[in-house]
Amino acid sequence: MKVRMAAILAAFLFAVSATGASAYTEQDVAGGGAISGKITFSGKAPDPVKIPIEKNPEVCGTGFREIQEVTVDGSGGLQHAVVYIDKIEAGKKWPKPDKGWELHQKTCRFIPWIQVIQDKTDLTVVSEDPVLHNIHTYELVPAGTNTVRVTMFNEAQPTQGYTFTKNIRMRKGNSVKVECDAHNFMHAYMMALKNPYYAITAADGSFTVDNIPPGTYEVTVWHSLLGSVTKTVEVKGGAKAALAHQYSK
Amino acid sequence: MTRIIALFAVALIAATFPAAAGVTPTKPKPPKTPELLEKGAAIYYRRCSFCHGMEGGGDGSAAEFLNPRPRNFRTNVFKFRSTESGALPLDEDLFETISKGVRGTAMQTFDNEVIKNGLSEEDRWAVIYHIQTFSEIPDFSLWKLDEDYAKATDPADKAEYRYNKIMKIGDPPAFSPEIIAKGKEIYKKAKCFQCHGDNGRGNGVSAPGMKDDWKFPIVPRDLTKEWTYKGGSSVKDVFFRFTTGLNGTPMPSFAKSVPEDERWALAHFVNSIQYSPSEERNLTVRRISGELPSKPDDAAWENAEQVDVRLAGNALIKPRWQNITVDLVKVRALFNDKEIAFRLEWNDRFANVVNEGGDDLHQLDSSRPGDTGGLQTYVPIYSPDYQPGRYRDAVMLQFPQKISAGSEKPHFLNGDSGHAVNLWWWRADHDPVAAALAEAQRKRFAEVESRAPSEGGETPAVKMDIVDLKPDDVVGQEGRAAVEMNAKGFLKAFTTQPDESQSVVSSAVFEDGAWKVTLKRALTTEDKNDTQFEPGVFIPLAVNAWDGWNKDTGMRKSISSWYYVYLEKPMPLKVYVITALALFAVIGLEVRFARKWRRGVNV
Repeated sequence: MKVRMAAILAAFLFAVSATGASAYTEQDVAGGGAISGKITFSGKAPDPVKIPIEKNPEVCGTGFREIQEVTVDGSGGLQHAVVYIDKIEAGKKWPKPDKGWELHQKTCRFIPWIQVIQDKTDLTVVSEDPVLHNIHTYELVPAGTNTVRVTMFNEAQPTQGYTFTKNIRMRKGNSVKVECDAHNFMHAYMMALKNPYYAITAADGSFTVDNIPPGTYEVTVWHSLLGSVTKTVEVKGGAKAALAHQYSK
Repeated sequence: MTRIIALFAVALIAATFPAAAGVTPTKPKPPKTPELLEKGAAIYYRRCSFCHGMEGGGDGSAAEFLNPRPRNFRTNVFKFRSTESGALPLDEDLFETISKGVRGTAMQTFDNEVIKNGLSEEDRWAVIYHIQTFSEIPDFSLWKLDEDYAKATDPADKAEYRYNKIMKIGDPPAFSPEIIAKGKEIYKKAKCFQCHGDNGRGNGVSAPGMKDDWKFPIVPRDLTKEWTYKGGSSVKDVFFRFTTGLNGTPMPSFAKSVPEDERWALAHFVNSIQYSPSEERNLTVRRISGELPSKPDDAAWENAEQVDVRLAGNALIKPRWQNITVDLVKVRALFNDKEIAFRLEWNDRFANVVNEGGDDLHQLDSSRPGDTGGLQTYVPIYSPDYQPGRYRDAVMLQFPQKISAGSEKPHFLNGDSGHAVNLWWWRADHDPVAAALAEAQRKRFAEVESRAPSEGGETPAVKMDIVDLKPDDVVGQEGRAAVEMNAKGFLKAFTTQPDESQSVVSSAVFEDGAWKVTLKRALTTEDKNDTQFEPGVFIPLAVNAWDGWNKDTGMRKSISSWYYVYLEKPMPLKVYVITALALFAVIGLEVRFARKWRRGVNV
């Protein structure tokens, strides 16, 4: 009986240490390579969602708020897609912002529209508006072909300048929808990843992920509306591997 | 299907039972044994699955008829917790919810000390353990208790504990006028009014268009209605709600932004604005000399008696509709030597003054003609047959056409074949206030509208839920927004009286999430279809109401049972004379008796 208990305990400890081992280790990367390319969109981009600004027009403005999730330039380049490598356990340093990761609400807009932060770190949320905002975050959990939205937290921000920090801890997914229930036209996205090997595409759809230890990786391209796709890329030291993906609709 | 009917019966019972007082377990939590889990599964199948689904997805066969929807146990978003925003509830939180039930919803009380068909403590624990096996995101098996925090050494584990932090609270501070005053300040400071309205009627500027986590429409609580607080209305309950937030709803946690002492003050203040309706069923109507008040907000109404008319959904005839919003209409009345005036007041977050739903009051569900009863006559909450933005607010007074001397009354749902009723039906879209509200709304959103047509967007100006407009220049303008009708039961078409018989004069005002409507008519008329108001007689009165925002139309409405109005009768002189004579007679007899006694006559 005792032996069995010990075995269970050992198994438990192993499980704990195994999950602990998935934490990212920062170290020097010698002779790293890069992945770069362009994410594009073909066809007619979906129209922006127009939401009338009925609430607090004195702060939020009037007319419609246009939520343009699919932003495409003249050459078909898709902005605001995220390219990331899910499984790298050790590598380059996180390029963390000086004051840590922040999300602001200003004139009833979330700023920025999309950002990538480190999972299990603090996010500072700052309301710059003299109205009540709330930040309601949803973990976007993949469920088959669908995504299920599950509330992560919903905090009130009743006063101008009110600032709080929250530890962002993903459970089953890695992307987050951010909304304000008090102003139904406020929307934003975040991703909380386990390592710094990611890039957000620029206005022309281009991106570069650098300083990658040589090897073969599963690389994921994610877009808030268009979904995600995973491709295998081989990275060689000192070289730039190409990755392109075209979304269409 | 019979089970669905049974569930609705259960729901009705649940709605009438007060919350259980004792909600903490009396015995220690039993260990999670395979036997207990198996028992929990069996109980879940029998008692829970019809609403919550066989796999716990909140999608049982009754789910589409219920608002709020049954909880989905796979995503584990729970409203009533003692844990921080977004976190799972403690087992004890689930125990409390299951034991108490959820007021105003189909979730019944399961405390077997309170209700016969409840569950024993052990059975409730068994169900809780079973419910937790459905979880996918986040997983109950990952749940760690706050008290284990100190034992954790790994920083990652520490963080996990912190994430699940439990809100610990002490006892509420004592009630005092000062704490109420402070709470009122906090209500402003924490901007509760932005969603709940200046006077707590759930009609703040952010109220329209709110959605829950599943994108179903949701509205801020009307804090003045004590009986609608789902998680309980006590100071402690209220404190917990805005401390932890209500996961799955727009209600955020104020734990970080408002200090604890301020939250207690706020809880006391919110508790102090709760209204509990009186049980009185008779309305005494005072006689006044001079003109009756013509405006709904006239000061004269302050001196009138009030009866609180409770309303429920029409669950008697299709389309059966139990998901109502107008559940209380406060009725006052005054009369003079010529006329009687009623003043109806009810909370409604949004004024709805557009009617695209037709004027057929008797409108049954067209998709199933001829079927007046049976099982298929409940309306799903989001039935495609009822689209938002099409319906107006309305209210109706109902009296028996003939007042019977005995206790015989028409059926309360619009009479019956042997007993006709007289109906006064006020409709917001016919009132001068409607045009004014629509115009004010148009002006306010001129910018929105000017941009809308070219972009093909909808024009929100008129259809929008109006929350905070006060078109003072038209408030209480008299008009003929009320129509006089007669009905002989819900199986026959209602008849509108001819133009020459129409004489009810109405006026209305919508302000800060409440309608006030007056309806005035001569005490007596020549029309045999009219109810005649005679002082000194108990006259039955019932109220029907429609909330356009709630897509109420036709028979899909709020209904009440019978109340009574009694017009004060001046005491006739005869009463005083007879009383005086009787008094003299008694005194006389007593004097004679006393004299006999003194004279020593044998008694």
